[in-house]
Amino acid sequence: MKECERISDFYGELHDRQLSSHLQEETLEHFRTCTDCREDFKWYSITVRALNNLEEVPAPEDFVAQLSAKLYARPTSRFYDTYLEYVRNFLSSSPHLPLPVGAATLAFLVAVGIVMYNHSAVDYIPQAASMQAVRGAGHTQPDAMVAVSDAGGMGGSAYHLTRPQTHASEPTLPSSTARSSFHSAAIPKSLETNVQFAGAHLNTLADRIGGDNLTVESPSVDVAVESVKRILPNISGRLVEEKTPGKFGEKVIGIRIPSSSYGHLTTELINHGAVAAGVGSHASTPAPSKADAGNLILYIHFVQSP
Amino acid sequence: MVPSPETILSCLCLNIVSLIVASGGRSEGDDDGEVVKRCIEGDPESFNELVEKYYRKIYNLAYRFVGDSEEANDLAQEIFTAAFQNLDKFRGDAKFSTWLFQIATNRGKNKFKYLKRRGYFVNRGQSDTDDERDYLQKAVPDHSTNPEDLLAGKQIQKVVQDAINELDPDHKEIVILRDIEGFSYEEIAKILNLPEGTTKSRLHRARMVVKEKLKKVLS
Repeated sequence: MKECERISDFYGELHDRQLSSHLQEETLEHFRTCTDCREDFKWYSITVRALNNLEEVPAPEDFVAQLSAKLYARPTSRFYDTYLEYVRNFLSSSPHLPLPVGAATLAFLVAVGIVMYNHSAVDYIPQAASMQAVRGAGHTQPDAMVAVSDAGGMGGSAYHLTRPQTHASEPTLPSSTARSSFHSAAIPKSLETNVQFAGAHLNTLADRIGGDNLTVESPSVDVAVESVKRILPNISGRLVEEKTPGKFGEKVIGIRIPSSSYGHLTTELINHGAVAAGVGSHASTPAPSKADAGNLILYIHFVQSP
Repeated sequence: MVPSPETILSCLCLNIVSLIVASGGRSEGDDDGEVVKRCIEGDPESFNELVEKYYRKIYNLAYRFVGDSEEANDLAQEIFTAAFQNLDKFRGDAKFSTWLFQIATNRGKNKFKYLKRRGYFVNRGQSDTDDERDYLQKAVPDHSTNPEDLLAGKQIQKVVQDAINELDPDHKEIVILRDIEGFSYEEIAKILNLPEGTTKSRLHRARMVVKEKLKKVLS
């Protein structure tokens, strides 16, 4: 068998007639005695001739024209090619795309969110704005606060501050996180007219949010307003704005109080004659505004009671 | 009835395109050097002369590497483009044809490896299953009664090409250069930058692989 393997190494040179006469004689002698090797060599020769006999595959007729168009076409700029290739690779190579783009997008969104949050002009207002009051007991809504005048009440500062019965145990201000949902859920469409002051030019913050964060009905609006003003020093508050809307007998005041004093304010209002249910010193503290940390700006809308 | 090797061999002889004739058509003379010089000196369109002279052989070589007309066309275009772009690097210490076929075999091998990695040959006669063997035997009809037709026909061409496709790139390039393109061992050694002995031994191993494939299909 080893002899057969050795002889098979001579096939190529034997076929090419390049084998030395001595080795050729030795190989042919082996073939005379070994049928397998003789057959094998014949197949070897067939193989070589079959390879030699492979037809030439004709090139396409327009091969030269195609090539010329490619070779002598105006060269594009190397930079352009490189740039295109980079973009193509960047977009087609999945490992490159998600991480940097995703991270950059996330960072961008976070940055935009932070900037918007910090620069939101009305950020601290909605806490108070959410306390939309509804004029008249028949329209009382959950989480709305209504002060109703107490005709003939003590000291002329007579008004009632009432809470809807359904939410008597909790104060009105929502947490800042629940602010938006609360606002949309708590303010009925019918109240939209409340924030419109006929004839007034709406350009202040108070105008934009409406003057009825807290609505107080009183037979004597001026007296009621003065009462509130008197309360303010006791709770470290101060008057921020006072204006008279277009409707006769109505008044809006804006007060700035420490947010921790909100409960005191409502207590004082009650002590000054309001008939209240569920509102008092135990009321929760509204979240301090971010823009005016620790303080709350509250607008109270005084309307003439019928 | 299976044809005897002698019968097949005698039939083959009738169909052989002489290696000598093929190599005679390959002779290049001194013109290549002049043309190349003109190209390098600023007459790029004289490259067309070289293209006209070699594109058939380059295309054929490309086809034998990849076994498909479209891929062969792309590969041949790529080979000439690479030659054109690197013509200034041609030092002239070898024949232009040797240099061109160096580029061709390198590109051909790379293209073959690339296509193989992508599974291009999986459904193109690369498998060695019984089904495949049956298919090939059916693709060579009536060879028991008419071996002459068999060897002259298209089927044997496919069988041989499939066998070439199964060779590894180092063996494939030598078979193509020697048995298909008809280069001498000396030229192949220059093109592949190999000793002649290595060239011969690799060629022998490659032929043995192809032989086994043909035996399996034809007998």
